[in-house]
Amino acid sequence: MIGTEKKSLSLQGLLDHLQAYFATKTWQWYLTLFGILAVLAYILNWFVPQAQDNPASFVRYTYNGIAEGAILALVSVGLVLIYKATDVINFAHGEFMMLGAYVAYEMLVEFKISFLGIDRLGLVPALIAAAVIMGLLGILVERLVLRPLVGEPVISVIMVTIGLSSIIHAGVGLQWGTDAKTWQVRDTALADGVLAQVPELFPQDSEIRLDLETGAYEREIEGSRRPVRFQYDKVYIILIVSVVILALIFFFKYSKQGIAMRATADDQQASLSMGISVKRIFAITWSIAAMTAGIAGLIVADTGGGAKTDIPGVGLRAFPVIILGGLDSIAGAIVGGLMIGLLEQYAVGYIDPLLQENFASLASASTKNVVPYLVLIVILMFKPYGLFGQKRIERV
Amino acid sequence: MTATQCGVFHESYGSDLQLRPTTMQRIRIALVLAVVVILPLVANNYLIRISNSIIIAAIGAIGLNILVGYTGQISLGQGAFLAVGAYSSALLTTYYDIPWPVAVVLASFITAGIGMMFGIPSLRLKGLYLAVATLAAQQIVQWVLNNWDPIDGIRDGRATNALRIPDPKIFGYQLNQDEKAFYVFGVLILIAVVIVTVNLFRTHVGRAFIAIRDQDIAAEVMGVNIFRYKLLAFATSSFFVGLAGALLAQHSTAISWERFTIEISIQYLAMIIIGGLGTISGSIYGAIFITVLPELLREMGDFLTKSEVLNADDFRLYLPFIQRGAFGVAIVITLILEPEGIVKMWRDIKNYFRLWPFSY
Repeated sequence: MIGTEKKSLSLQGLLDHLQAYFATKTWQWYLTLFGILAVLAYILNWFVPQAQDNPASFVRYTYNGIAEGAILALVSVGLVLIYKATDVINFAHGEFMMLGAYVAYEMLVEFKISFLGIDRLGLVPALIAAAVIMGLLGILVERLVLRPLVGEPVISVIMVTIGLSSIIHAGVGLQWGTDAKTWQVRDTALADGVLAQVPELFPQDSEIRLDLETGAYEREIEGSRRPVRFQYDKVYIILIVSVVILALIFFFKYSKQGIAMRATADDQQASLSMGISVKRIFAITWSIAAMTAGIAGLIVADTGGGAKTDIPGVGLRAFPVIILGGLDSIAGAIVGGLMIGLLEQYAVGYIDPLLQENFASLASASTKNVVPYLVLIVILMFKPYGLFGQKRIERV
Repeated sequence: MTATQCGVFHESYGSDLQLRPTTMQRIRIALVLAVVVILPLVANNYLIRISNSIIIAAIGAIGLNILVGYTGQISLGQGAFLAVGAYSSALLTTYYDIPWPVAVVLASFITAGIGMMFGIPSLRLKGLYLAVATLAAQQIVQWVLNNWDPIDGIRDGRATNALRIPDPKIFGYQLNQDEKAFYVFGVLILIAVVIVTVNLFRTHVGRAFIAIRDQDIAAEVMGVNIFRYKLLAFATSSFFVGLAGALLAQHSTAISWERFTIEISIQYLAMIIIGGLGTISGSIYGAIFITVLPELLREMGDFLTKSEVLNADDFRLYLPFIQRGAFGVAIVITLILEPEGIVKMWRDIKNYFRLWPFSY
């Protein structure tokens, strides 16, 4: 698993590596799946009366799906890291996200931080602060709660993370109450001079409009029949998530700790005997996972109406992602995240209107939360370890 | 089947097959039964209502333990199966005018069927993958309950989320009003469930479940048809869970989907893990623990507000969070101290005193 010679950071080497990676069978599998998904959605497009008025809505659902999927991917990467290192699914991950959002709220509204003199950019230091504080919390949690349980049955450890989630939830409720804490300028009702100082980084109402037929964009589009709206805030989600995930990939590829972490995930006994401190690796893993969760929480809060107590629901949506991608595959988490994000948006765009048309008794239903699970079960029947998960060879 | 202490020699097949071969065990069960009988005579209505919740939770927890503790298939779909039991008994009594005891039994069988259906992925899935597949059951059932209009209740001519069902009556007692009557009825069912499950694990079926939990490949090699027994485990487990759900519906007579969310699944998992996986008594201890804890906190809070240590409004506002936090703290502390649950603690205490004062 671990290269013996020291790898150098050359562009040519990186390109070679990427080329080798994309040439593998799994990636072809994957692209095929995405292709099928896209074709299916595009066919559905023509069956749904609402969509026919606006065929370009397919592009919008795809775009929104990728943005949603990017958040899910970021959340799932943390879950996969913890699973790889410790064989445990962290049920408190959604609560870590929530905590990250509240940390950002404290930074932006209580401490009124700004960056380069611009209040708008206050989110950048807030993001860093959330990451750092959550990272420390991850270490603390590992030390106090999880280390005593090393070697115990997996289900007991999972139960402990569930208990942890209850504790964090209760703590947040006692400290901040149940109302959403926003830092957006739009909420003028709350603006008593404090909140108004910290507008969101990319306001949700600003968007690029693109006409797919003529290629025109922005203001020229006034007379166009079929504009597609691209919201700015979705761009920045994709950007931040890409940066974080790229940083993680580089960390695992080239840093000493990262390589040690991969070694530990591969074989704890062997890495112990090679002088790696497995205890420290566990702490680092929890720390990184909590960090990514905190960043994801901040993004969710920024684009979804502030820090509030239903953010852990996003953590729950990450479970089908990690199972779909394979519990122990980071690439799987990223691809799975994108797939679930797309599926959710296509469900909203195409399946919901179909249900409204044809089934009176399900008229008000939103299939967003169910469709991923249905697809998940079907895929699991064919690939029981997810798309990328390592098949376990069991011996008696 | 279970190991007993040394020095117990059986002289006939009859004594060998006894559930409780030693005198101490008989004394203990007599004491438990005495408490169960005396409780309704001395307790007030409030205490009996909590006991009724415990009875329902215990039946559900035993059902879940058959699947998770004995067969080793982690399930996050408990809330869904409870909901299936509750809703099918409610719909059978409301729309088909079936007498409620029949409806409760039918509901249990329906839940067993649904549970078996959601157990099919266990053919290929294991461990956490299966756990998330059962989470799918939870989400799908919850979605149906939430969105499918025909099962909504109707109040004042408008559809509401809560479904009201006719009052269950037996021998002139109205079970949803008369807590004592429900207590008697519930205890009888719980005793029946305990006897059935304890004996289940003395049969070849129960042994097959345990073999699958311990090492499924070895079990298969020894001739256990894994898929069949896994499905059977899902069915038996869901049967009891459905029974608990049906009783819950008959006890409260108004049900809505909010009472069957993933949080309920997690609560039941907490019950069996805190109590002790793979033990019947553990399920009951866990049910008592998780049901009593929030009530105890409320009582304590009420006491503090009465003695004016706490502000009543503040207390009401914070209570749900305090209860939730205490639930979490209880889980974390119990599992850090004893990952195998209350049953293990009880066994340790027993073992300590068995050899006291000369323990090694």
